[in-house]
Amino acid sequence: MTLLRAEGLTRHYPLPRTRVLGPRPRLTAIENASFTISAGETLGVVGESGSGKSTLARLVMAFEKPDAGSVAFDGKDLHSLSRPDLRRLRPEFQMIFQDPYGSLDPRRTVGWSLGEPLRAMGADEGCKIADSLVQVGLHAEDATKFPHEFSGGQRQRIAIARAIITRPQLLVADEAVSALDVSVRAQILNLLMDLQEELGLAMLFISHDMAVVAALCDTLMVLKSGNVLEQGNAAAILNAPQHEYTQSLLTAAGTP
Amino acid sequence: MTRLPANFLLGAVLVSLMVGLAALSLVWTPHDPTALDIRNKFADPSMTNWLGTDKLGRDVVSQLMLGARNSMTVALVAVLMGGSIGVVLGLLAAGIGGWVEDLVMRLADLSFAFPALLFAIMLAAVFGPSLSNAVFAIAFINIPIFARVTRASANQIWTRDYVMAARAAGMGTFAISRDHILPNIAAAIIVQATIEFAVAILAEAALSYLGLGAQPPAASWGRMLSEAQTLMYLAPELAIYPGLCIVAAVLGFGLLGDGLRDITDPRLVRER
Amino acid sequence: MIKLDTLSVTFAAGSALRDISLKIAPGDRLGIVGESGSGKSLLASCLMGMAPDAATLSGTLTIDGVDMSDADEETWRPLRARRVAMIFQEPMSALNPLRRVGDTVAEPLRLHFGLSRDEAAKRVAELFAEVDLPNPERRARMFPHELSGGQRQRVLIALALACDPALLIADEPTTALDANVALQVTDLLVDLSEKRGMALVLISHDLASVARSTERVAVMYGGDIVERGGTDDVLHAPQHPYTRGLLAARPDPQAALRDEQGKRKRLPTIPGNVPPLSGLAQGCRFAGRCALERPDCATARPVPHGPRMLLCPVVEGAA
Repeated sequence: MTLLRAEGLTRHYPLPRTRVLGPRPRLTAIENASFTISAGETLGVVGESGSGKSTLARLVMAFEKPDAGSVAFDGKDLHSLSRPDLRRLRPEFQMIFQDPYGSLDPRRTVGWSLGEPLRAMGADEGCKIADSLVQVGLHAEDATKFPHEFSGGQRQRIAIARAIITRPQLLVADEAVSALDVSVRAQILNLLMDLQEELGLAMLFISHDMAVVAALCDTLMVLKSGNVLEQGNAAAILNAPQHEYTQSLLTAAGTP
Repeated sequence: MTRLPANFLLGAVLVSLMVGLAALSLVWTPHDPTALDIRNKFADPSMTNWLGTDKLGRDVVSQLMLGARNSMTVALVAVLMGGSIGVVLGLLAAGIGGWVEDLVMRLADLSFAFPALLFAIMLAAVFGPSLSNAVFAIAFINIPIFARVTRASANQIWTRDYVMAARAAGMGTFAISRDHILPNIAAAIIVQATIEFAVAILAEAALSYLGLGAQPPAASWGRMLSEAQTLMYLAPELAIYPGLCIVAAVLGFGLLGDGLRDITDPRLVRER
Repeated sequence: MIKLDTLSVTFAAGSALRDISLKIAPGDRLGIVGESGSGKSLLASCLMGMAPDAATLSGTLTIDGVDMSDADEETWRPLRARRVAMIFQEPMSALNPLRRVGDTVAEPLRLHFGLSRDEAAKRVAELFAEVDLPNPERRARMFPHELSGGQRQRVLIALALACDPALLIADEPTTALDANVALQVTDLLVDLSEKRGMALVLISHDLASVARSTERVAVMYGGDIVERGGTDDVLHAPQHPYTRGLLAARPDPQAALRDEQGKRKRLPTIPGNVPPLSGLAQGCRFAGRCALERPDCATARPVPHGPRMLLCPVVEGAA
């Protein structure tokens, strides 16, 4: 069953004028990207900085509107929903971010941050916060602490706990393990796999590291400067990359 | 605990002195500051009148204390009023963006082009000179200043991942502004408020000097200064005392604001 | 050339480096691998004589036969840049945004060698050509923001090379760069080291880039060097439980990803977290997370042994 369907997604950003008259130059962040994610499946998006992968995440999360194309979540076009309707739908798709130091409000306790999505949907907090913390390998008592009391890996666990607390169907992860040490990264990747099996989560997993994407993804999309170079079955691309650029990313991720 | 910057300490001392004087005047002054005693005019400093008396025999110390209270009250009310309106406008501009942001910022630009004193004179011409009109005028010039500072800091916070996470959670603009933006820009606003406090004290003194602020017999540093002006050759000390008070208060709040900024701005700490 | 003998660094919270012994000869390429909190960056700052003030040092550090353990700032200054130079992780913040990069690189040339403006400019162009910056004269007139991340890092390498250092310390030089660019920068460092006979210490958490560019490697954990030896030997046949765990935790794009039941294969992990400085064990620092742990591991201080230096009492050393 298709959970998310993106068609012809295109987004340009205006650049500062270089001449007084004439058209304003623009940066193509993403050009004509189409993909689908089925329930419980993971799509990996690989590319380097400037490839448009973060723009893709913001479009899927409906943080900004595309210049062309559409994103349909569960059959509903995200970018044509009214604001209240979109807010009601938000608990169904959540996001985890790259920087574990920036994704938690430093002035709020962990419990407060975890409760935010619940309060937004008007749900009862109950013991969900404690459950969610335990689910990501932390302790219920951690809810009263502040983010600075945790290591990077632990903070990323907290961010994941917040993302799954509303029992979403889709998780968007933008470079979610890139800032972590190798051994911590493996722990978090395993946690994501556990949660995916437990909750039947679909994932849009964005990374610059082929090795990480390989460990987690069913399908793959390779981006370069806003263009889709190749996409399809992950194993097929990893075993026989069609594009030189994909090959070079694989080399860079190679084993020591 | 790291050492506090010197400007912060000096500012704190001056400010507590002035605030202390103002607070004390609520319960006690050496003499009734408005009581006339013509026989005792232009008295030299003595045990009864510590800094002497003015041309109507009023006690200078008592008047200065009342002037401090007047300055503090005017600055507090004006900065609170202008500041809160400005902060709300700035939060709206940053939160909603688009044409709202453009409108707020262009209005701010417009009011920057409009001198505050001119606005106060206009208010005085329409409604008659009074202290409350002076307060409104000073509050008004504070609105665009706070709107700008708030919008700039708020826009930075809006790009943080934890704000994105709150949006992803389905939080609305108002709730995010209240829960995440405001607490995280509070330091910047407090710093700005402290600096604007100094500006407001100066503005009040200027307006009262011009006769557009505190009206006789209310005591005000600015009014004391203007009364002493005509007697510059006869009794220069009468101009010097309120002048020194204005300098001390403005300098105090200015230094305190700079010091607070040094403490709260990590970029400056690194360079120090 | 540089010799560390049982160098230890202690903070109020605990000891951050314990008995580090290392030799760096001219032309050596040494990798230092470790995760956050392993002490690898602290070790680098000790090599530059820039250990934080709060730290207490013991042991000896010899540079060119001179004991520098107690050397003051005055003694260190001429050594920095000329003998030991360093490049950092974030190339943008290491460059003054208001100065043309050519002027930045020319400054030490004029200061240390007394070159004239024209001579310095000529030398800058040579250096830029040496670090493979295309069109060196034009690049020299640019500001940092006009360059890409990789180019900025090349400018910093040129700056480090300006005084012909005998040793270049690169602290996570490619972490902020894209994978392809990172490879090029790493290769450039190796190339420069070979051509100039310059020793290179590459500090990294990235095993792949260390494997690609160094001859010897030291693996650090919790302020100890837990394993040290030839890069190929250590990375292909790791012996210390930590090194093994670290290598296994890297996902392999070529490996089979699902087991027979069609479930995704989990990555092997090292259980637990790196403890804070104050919570490190007295004995083996890896105690508490180690699969091979014996009862006395947490209390008995392990002794380095084996032809390949190994800091584990459980594992027999091998070459």
